Amino acid sequence: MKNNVVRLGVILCLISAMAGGVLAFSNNITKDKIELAEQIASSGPEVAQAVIPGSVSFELSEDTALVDKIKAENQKFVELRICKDTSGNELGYGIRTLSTVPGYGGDVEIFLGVTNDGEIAGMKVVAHAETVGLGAKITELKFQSQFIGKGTDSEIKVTKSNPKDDEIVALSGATFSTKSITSAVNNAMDIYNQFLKK
Amino acid sequence: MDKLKIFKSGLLKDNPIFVQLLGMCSALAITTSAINGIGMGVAVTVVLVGSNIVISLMRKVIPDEVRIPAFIIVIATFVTIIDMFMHAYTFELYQSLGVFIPLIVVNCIILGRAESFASKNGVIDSIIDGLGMGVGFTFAIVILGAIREFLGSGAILGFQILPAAYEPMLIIILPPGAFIALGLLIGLVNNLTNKKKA
Amino acid sequence: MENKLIASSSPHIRSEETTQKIMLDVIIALLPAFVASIFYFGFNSGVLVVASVASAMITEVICQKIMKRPIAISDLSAVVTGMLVAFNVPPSAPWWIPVLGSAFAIAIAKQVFGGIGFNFINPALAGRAFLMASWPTRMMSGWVDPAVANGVDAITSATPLAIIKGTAEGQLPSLMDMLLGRIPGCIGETSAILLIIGGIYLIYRGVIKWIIPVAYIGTVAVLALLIDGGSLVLYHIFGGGLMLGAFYMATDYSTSPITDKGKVIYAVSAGVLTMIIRKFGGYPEGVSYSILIMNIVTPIIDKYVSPNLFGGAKK
Repeated sequence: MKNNVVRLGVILCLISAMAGGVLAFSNNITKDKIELAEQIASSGPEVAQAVIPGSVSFELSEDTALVDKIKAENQKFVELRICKDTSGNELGYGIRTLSTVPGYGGDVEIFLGVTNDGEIAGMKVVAHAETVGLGAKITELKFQSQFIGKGTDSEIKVTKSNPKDDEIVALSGATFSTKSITSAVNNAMDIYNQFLKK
Repeated sequence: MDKLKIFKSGLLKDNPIFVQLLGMCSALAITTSAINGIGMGVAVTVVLVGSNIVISLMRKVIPDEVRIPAFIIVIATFVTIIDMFMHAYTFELYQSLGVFIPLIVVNCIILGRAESFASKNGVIDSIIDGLGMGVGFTFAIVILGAIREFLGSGAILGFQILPAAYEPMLIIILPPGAFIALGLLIGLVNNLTNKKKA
Repeated sequence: MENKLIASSSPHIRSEETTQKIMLDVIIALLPAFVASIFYFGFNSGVLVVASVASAMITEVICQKIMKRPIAISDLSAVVTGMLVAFNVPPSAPWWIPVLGSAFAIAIAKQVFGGIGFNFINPALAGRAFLMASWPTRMMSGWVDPAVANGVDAITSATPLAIIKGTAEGQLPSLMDMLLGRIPGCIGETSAILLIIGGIYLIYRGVIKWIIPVAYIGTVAVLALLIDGGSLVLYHIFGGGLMLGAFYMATDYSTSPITDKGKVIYAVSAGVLTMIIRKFGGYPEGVSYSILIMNIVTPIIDKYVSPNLFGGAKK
């Protein structure tokens, strides 16, 4: 009986060891590729272009003291990137933040592009879990373009129709999603006003 | 056993989705588009063929008492490999399938074939069985995905087919739509196969 | 000579009541509200109702042909379903909305489960839920305010319940308008007084029992009084689909409990659910979903409040 348990254990061990070996091997092949793919998806040139049009490089801010300070004061803040064009001029900031008001499927995570003049240049929804066909429309340029060109001076509000300068029109049937992404934008603007404005 | 018969049984007579109703979780959850169906189908087929080969090869080595944990280790290994490779090479598909790739481990089709076929038959037969079941699974969820994508967005595989004036039937890409569409499809398949018998 | 002596197995005493007669009564009860909707919301609501009924009947025939069942279109149940689906649609909706809703109601919610008497949820409400999930913007906007003269201004997003909930801005209409139905809402749900008259007609004719409507509306009234205070009680009762739901949809035979005790449990629960959805849910109105939920619970209620057999031992 005892022998049998040992025998079974050894066989399972062997199978697991083989599995482990195969996995280590394939991990070795794919590791770098995965890293690259993740990086392109979260901060590649496509994202940079959406956040501030014209920018090609999208580097994490090297001012760690400032980033730590923002992190300490603003819980929804994720990271800060600097957008540069081909000749290396700084165009503005890419502020990555969560929403302060949850949408239908939890917090929405965005990159908001703010130019050096304090204008919203663009945005990219990094992560969301809103309903397909309704709230998921927050990822569409048609909706997002409402934010572009707005100043960071006054908080953006959501309305149903006839927007004023500091208002955007809610997606019909998806007011919650709209409010959520707007809260993320407002949070990014707060961060800009508080810490980054020159 | 007739090789062609083994292959064909997975396609229609014992189709994992339409007849055996196995692997419902992934089939219902990811079939919001045809491309998702293809991705999931290919991933499951690869895992199925792989695990069938290995289990059929080791069927005389694995003691009966620990066969289930041994099968699970083999299957989990293949799933993890697929997961890594999809992550590295088909990033977008990987993101839209999300947690359902790792969940292939608990897909009953694979353990079911390991237990009922591969552990009792030779390598060649097991490969054919895996291919037949995999193709049958893929075929079923691609049809399901295509129907849902067509009604839910007016497109198939991303190509817009219906005019822009078409207002998508959102329910079909929401969870209830998955159940309704699958139920009607199974009804249709039953109707067709019953006619054949009569 | 008519042979009156028929040897057959029980039951020997048959009611004169047929499905057709019952459905005809329901149609009669719904007609005043239908006429009022054309009067208040204009010609389009008439088009929608007719299109919806036609679609329901055609779908019924097609399904029964495909499933090789006897064609039972003359029992008029499809007509009632078609009317109720259209009654649940905003007046300025395009024609295909109620058409698809009725087709879904008949094909998926009714025929697939075995036809009349076998459906586990109310087909018309299933049709409404289908439309709400599929085209929410079509179903939650495009209300017409009959109090405003015809024109662009008449389109509003503010139903009384949406105003109470705070998701829309606007002035609450007067109580008289609420009673008469001169308020924005779905086609057939606004004229409270006409729906009540129709409901009383049905109770008088013995088509429905008074228990479900009274318990349902009473529960909503009590909860509204407790939550929102006395001034809003009547708005909660007349403002949404409660009258239509309580009299015409919650009372569906095959989807409501058999015993009186069961009916009370069913109706009170539906009332509580309605107020929960209205107060805490995402939508301003909760009647349709609360009835649907209670439809699904009905078999459980029937199981636990089954009547004792006559002569059986008391538990």
